[in-house]
Amino acid sequence: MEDWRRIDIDAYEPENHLSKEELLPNLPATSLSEIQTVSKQVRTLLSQGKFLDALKLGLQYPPYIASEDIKSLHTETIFEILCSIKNNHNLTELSSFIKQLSSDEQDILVKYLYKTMNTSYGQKQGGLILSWYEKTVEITGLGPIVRFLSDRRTV
Amino acid sequence: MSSESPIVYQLGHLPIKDHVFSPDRGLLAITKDNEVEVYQVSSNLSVRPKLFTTLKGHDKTVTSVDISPDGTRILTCSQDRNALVWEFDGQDYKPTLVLLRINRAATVCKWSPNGQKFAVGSSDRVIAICYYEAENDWWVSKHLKKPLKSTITSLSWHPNNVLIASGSTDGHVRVFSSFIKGIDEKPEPTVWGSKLPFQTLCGDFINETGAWIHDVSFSPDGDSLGFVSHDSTIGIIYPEGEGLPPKSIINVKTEYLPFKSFVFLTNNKLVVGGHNCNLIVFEGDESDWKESFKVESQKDLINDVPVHGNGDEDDEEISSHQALNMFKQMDLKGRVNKPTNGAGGSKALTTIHQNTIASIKLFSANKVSTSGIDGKVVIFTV
Repeated sequence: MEDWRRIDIDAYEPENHLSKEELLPNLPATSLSEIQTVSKQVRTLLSQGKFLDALKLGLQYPPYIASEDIKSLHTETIFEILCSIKNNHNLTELSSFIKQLSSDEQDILVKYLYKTMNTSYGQKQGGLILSWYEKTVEITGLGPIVRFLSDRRTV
Repeated sequence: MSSESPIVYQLGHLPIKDHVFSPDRGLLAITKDNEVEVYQVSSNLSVRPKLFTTLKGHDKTVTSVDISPDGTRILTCSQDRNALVWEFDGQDYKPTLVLLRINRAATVCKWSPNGQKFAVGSSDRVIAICYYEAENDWWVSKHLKKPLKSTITSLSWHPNNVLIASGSTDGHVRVFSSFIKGIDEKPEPTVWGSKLPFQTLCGDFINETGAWIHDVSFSPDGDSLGFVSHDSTIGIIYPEGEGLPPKSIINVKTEYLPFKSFVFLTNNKLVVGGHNCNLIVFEGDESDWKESFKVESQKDLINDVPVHGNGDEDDEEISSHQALNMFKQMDLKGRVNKPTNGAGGSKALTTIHQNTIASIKLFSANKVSTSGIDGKVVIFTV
């Protein structure tokens, strides 16, 4: 008897397939120059000591539809902000930064914390990322973690 | 908070993916592996339901069960790609096979409010709208296909028996017309549309994150549509009218694990439950929805509540969690300690459900029934 479990039943109706592209959210693409502009503005704000503004700006336009290079570039920008805030403040002050973010911004922050954990520079600064992570989840609960896992808009 | 304490039925330890009470609340049907167990429920709810019969007809996991609005027919569907309609002949339930014409698992089934049709969702990217054809003495189906391209996880009927909402794994919530000539009367126009030939797509919405939709439901008046998805959010859609963009789409982000199921208590109040093992009530209208309270107080990673020592617990047998602990002790220390009873010892979680709540149904005006992966059926007062 033919092994019916191995029949590729999808092959009989190719038009019904959902392609990877169709699952991508319907959002405008982000270009390299936009991300570079944001990165410059962030550095200016950081040098002026406007840490919260820098963080909010960085989290405002995550490049959801962009190449991996652009996404990595923005991840580095976010990492720079996180380092800079940590270096200039107490550990306890991180909470007040997180509290001043909107819930959307908190979700995006968690996405970047996970993304940074996956980079070599993030792993060298594991303690820093983990303290941000700890403080964030203390305030936001489990929701942003679940949304990081389930969101098709990846950073 | 609830004044009456919840009623707990521990019906074995296998997962109960779906449960349903008959309209007169005299019967309870639960899914259990490849079978469906039917229990007789006493009017005194504190009496444990008595197993009446077991419906054996599927040869794969039963995914959903529903009882017709007149209480006479039980509908089941399974991963074996079949749906069965069970009718009581005075002694036992006899199954009739439904001509579904799908080649993948059936995931969810629901009777229409008047009981003349039912819908079966499947991972074959179709919704089968089924009705009885007298001349052939058979349940036949028509397929809702376009533009479905992913597994249907949930279905909900509009009170007018024609509109049906579906949630699917591509993050879409869609509203279709399932008008069947000769079965349905022409429905009154609603906010969802007026001309409704079969397969009309009356609404197509996507949640922000594109995460799986776990459950959809029309509000009791049918003028809004709620859904819960795997990103721990609750969405409520308020349509403006035919061809117009919706008046508002409320998206409530929560701090909990994802919700698997929910029911509307009124048009402005709903209760959700899922992987967080607790029920949470939300209230609101087309401007905003907010969490109003948790049905049980809960200890989790972030919020600490004192554990109430509830001595009169349900399990006579030890729970799987206790068994695991005993095994661990045996493995590590080479001795067996009997599981300690009382606060903290016998339970892993502070809620009644010790695992995901898989389905929530309305029991009465202020009561909901839940079934969970931990093999419990619970009736909560909310």
